[in-house]
Amino acid sequence: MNKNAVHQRLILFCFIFVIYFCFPSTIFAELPSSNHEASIRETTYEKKILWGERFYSLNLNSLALKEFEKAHKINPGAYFPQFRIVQLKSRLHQSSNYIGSVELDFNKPGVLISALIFVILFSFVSMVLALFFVLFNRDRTSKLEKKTQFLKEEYQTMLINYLFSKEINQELVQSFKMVTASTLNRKILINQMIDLSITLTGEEKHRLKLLYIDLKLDKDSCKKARGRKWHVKAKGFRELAFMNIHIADDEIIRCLSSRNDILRMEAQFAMIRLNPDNSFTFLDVLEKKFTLWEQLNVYETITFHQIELPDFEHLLYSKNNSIVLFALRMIKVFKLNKAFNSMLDLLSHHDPEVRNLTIQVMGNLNMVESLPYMKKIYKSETYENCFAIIQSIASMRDESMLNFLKLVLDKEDDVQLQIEAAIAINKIVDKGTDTLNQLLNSDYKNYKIIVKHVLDKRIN
Amino acid sequence: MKILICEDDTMTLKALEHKLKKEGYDIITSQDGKSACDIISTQKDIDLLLTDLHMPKLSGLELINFVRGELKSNMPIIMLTRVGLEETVLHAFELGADDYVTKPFNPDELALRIKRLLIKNKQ
Repeated sequence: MNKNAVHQRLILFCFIFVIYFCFPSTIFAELPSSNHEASIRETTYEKKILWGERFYSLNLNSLALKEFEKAHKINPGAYFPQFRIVQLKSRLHQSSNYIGSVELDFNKPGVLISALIFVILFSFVSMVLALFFVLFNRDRTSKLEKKTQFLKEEYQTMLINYLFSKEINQELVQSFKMVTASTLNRKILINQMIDLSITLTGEEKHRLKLLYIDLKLDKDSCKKARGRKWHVKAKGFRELAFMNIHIADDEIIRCLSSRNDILRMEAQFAMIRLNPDNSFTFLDVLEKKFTLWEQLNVYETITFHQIELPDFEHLLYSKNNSIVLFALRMIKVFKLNKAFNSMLDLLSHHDPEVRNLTIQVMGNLNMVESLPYMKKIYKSETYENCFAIIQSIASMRDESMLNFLKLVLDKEDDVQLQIEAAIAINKIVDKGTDTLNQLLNSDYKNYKIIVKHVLDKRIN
Repeated sequence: MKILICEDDTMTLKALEHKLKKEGYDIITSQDGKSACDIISTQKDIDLLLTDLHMPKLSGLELINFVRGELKSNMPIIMLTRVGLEETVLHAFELGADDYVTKPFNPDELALRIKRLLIKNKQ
């Protein structure tokens, strides 16, 4: 059945639905009764014929067929019901697809159609509402963005005029006070002030802080810092840290051991910025793992905010291994060779990861004094740490380790360690390559192929 | 004296513009490296270039390279950079930059550096 036919049938259903509910008398009109006693059968027969014709005219073929079949049973000899039965069967046969059968076989068409109309109307109304909601929301967002951009530029100009004027402009201060009355405006102004605090130093920055306090924005930040929601707290910490305001230090300290990673990091950042003299005291008491991400953030804060370097050496004795690792990384990055003695103690640390990093840092900082100790622990070390020891020796290029490396090359079972030892020998200035050539020309040893490999300039 | 400031951050740009205008300089601004290149190519009377290192379209390093390499100009160039980018600063010096200022910067100090470089260049 094509689409038009389906539409026609749907329209027909709707029409019947309306007729059914609005004009029931059309269909259910009382049939003229006959007092004729000749035959009740005849009356029934007539009724059936009448109903059948009504259904037939409304195209309700299935119902019409039933009526004519009943009429035919009452009066089998009558021609008309038979004629209609044949006609209707033929019609039903022609429209035997799904929709047709539903339409024709459904005894209560009103329920189905009501449901369908309800679904269609509901979908249509929902779609229109959704469309209006999307359009309205988009328009609102776009307007808000434009407004924010406009206010941002206006406040930037106001702030710069205020900061770079020789004397305090009271009119501007009053304008700022009016700005802070609205939540959105205050938010934009705070963001601009923080941006400026990142850019400027000296007198201007000091004036900016005074303005922040004068506008009572510090109270606003403090309220945020003491808020209940973690993201609001984090925002408050950041604002206080950038504006160098200490009124919520206790809350920041409390959040240094928060279970929320982001809040903890913000508290650490604020702590470092606000207490340059005791920036890293939180590391002395931190019991949780100091994650790599936190370490990176702290490193970034030290580097980009010109924080004075703390004494990382004492952190090497921390019970929290992640802090020991952080201290070692900082010693490596900032080349703090003074920590040598404490690092030496770490060579006997219970955690192999700590020992490994210590060995690497010693090699990186060229701590030649550590070589005898590394040599001493080599045999008892894990495979990874043996590897790190040979690489550290290689980076220090110390001639005194030549025999030790030759021994590793000769006695070590692992080929990778042998290769590393050969590379380390090769790196020793002047003597290294000669020694390897001598080894190559000496009696047969199983490591000759390794030496040959290391000396091959095409590979190394 | 005409100074071209090339900085993508609006706030910093405004602060620099305001400060240097107060010091009596003519200021031209640009928010990306490419437009700065166009300005330098067309306006030959620019006395000093103050540029950020990280900018859209064309970086500060590429801009310095353009000024020194292609335009063969010897106008003083001051870089604005973040702390901790020492290697980039060294690279910029290799390309021909004259001085650098780290963010956050002191506006008075920057004004003095500009003044010193302009006097030096005049001599």
